[in-house]
Amino acid sequence: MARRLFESLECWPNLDGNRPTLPVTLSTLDGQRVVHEQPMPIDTGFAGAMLLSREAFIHFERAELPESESRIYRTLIGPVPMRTARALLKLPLADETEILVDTPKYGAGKSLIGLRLLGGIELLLSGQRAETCFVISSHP
Amino acid sequence: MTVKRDVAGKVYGSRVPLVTKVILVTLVIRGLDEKTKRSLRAEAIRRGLRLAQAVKEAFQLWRSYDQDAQTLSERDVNNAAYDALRQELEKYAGKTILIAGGRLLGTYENPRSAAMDLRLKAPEARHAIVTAIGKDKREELEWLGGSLNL
Repeated sequence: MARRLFESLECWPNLDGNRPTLPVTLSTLDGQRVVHEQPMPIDTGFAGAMLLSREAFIHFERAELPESESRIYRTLIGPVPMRTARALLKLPLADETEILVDTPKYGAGKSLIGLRLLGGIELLLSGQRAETCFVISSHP
Repeated sequence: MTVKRDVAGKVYGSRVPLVTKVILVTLVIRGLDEKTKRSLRAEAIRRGLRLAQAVKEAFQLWRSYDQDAQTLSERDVNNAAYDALRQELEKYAGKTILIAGGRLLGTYENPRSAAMDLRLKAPEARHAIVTAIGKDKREELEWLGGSLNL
């Protein structure tokens, strides 16, 4: 198995000492900033890009998908229908990208980063140091 | 002292417990002719909907044309407009469409252009639909345990 070395670029402390987080900046499609470098917990069990609380989602309602195209999440307690909207995301050391954000159709929801958002980045979840780091592969 | 009663007449002193029940019902429609029933079912299948969803969408559309209806939100009206236009919108495959105030406001090369145009055409709108025809489709994704409690 090939040995690979990674160098950490920037790190952020875990929320409450045990929840990995990344600072997130979110804007509406027309460029209005809604969230600025706010630490959001990472949940690798959530397959979407980002889940938002209903309160935060309201800012993105001017670019919502039709209800018939909004996502449905399969969970242990049955399907959870969502409201889905477009947003612009900026992570540290990365370019701004367009993503789809979800909020539960029923209930208050919560804000978290999902698996789809982690697809394009190299990340270290350090349990010992209780921090989350962006890393870069350093070839010898 | 104020005496309050619940719907069954039980007295609770000054405190009345609030209980909300959500019940999914089976609706039986008597007297619906066979032709309408078949037509409704066929339309639901054509749109990829369950019968209950099709009836709900039809009702939303009906209410969107009722000028006296105050209970519909901007979101309901926009979704009803999208559902009504769905077939017609297929000719814009690959383009992004913008619906606000229950009307199709335009077609665009990308979602950002639609959002910028919304600022000009309907700055007061609190809700709008921005979707890429043929690209945005309902996804079913997984949400395992962890943060599941809503």
